[in-house]
Amino acid sequence: MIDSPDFLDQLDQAITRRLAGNHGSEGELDSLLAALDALEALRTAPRLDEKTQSQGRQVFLAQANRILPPIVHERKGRKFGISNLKEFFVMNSFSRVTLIVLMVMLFALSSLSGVVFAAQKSLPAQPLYGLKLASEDIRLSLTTDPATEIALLTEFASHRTQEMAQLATAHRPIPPELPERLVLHLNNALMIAAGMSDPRPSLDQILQMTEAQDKVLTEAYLGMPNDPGLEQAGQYLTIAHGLAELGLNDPAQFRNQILSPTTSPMPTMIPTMMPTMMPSSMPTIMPTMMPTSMSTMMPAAIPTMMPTSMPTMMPPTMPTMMPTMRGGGGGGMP
Amino acid sequence: MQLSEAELLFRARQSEEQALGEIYDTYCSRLYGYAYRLSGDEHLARDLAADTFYRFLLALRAGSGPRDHLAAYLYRTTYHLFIDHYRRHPRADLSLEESLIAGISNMDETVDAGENQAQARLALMQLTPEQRQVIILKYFEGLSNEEVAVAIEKPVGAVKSLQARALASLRRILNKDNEGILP
Repeated sequence: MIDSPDFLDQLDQAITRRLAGNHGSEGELDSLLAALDALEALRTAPRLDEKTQSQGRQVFLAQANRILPPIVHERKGRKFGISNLKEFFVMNSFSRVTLIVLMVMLFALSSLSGVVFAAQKSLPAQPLYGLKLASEDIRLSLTTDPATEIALLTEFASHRTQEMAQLATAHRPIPPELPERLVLHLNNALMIAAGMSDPRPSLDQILQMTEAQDKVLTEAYLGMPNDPGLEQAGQYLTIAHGLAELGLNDPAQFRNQILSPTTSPMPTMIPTMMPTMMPSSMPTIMPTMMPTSMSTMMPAAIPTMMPTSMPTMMPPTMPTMMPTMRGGGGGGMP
Repeated sequence: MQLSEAELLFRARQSEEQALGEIYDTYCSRLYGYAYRLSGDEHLARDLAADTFYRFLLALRAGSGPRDHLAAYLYRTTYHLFIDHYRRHPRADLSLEESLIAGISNMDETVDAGENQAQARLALMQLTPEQRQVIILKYFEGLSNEEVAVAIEKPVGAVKSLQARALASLRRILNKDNEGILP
């Protein structure tokens, strides 16, 4: 009887009446509806306070700003030629003043670019290192093409491992910010790749970079064994390598693992990069350098700042709604 | 001016902050409440709601996000994340369903927040996942049969059938627990 269409419709209508506040008798359906009434205790749920909600909203919009591609308005290009040159000489005085100001600014910028160039060789704790990171962030923020963005991220990931190697050569400890930055670069690159229609060239790039940098780190590790920063960095490279390999061999599964809302056998890849919100510490997942076989490690964990049930560590600077460490998982309101 | 859902989603795809903000404002509390009813854990509920929005952004970026039925999509995502949470942290000696029940049995609310709530949630957790979703989405979240059907990816007829079976199961479970107090 319970499967007969008439009965199902009758019950459905009775439930609709009950939800509308009509608690009159429904005859033989009353016993079923009583079960529904017993769930009434669950109707009360705690509410999010306004502050928490507002903080979550801000973080969500910041994530959106980073994750979603910016709107690109096509502009009609104008080729520079004889006619443009002619226009320059006939332009009014206001335009000429504007152009001169722009040229002065360009000159000032080129001086600054000399400093930025010099900063590229700096290491953590050196005065120009902040400028180096800032220049990387600016380059990223100016990029709208996913493939270029991945190229930049792999380049920056290489920078981080090379910085670690240089520090290890000098027998200086690896500051936690380095592996943290590295994992953000890797996460971002993989995430963007997962959103591309043909990510193979980019994944290949990630694959090659992780292999090359793994060698760099292995050498560094020989000079400074047991350094937790190096161990973490090596592990992150391993996981990223495994994921890039998966993407090349099985793009659908790669996308599914990273993007699908329905399954997440591996940690969320974080596409946001917020330098000021870097985690203060990252979990040490493996006590030793990683194994050479990478694919099987995928579900392990690239620590992220992102939500739910992933081995994440949240930065202390994040709002209170941000992920919290909970039984090996982390999560939180964006 | 109130935007239609399709327009809201279209604008969200265009990275329009206003549209994204509106989506967040509309669903933040609802998803949190839904996650809380599922888990009985405020922290986990916050995490699940946050993760749902994050997944939503990723889906938009990948071009695979919802074109309509946004509520159904978001609830479905939250539910899968909830199940994922327990799948990732299973109790070695228990099945997924048993872990869910055990997790809820251990919550503080069994002591503090009232026996009724804990008992109701325990009963809910003994339903099949689909039955549970139907009951929560329809009864607590106020979704229509059509929206529930989208959320659980089944036809409307199946929703009605799941609803009836869920109530029959609940009656049986609660009768057993309460020594037959239900009619």
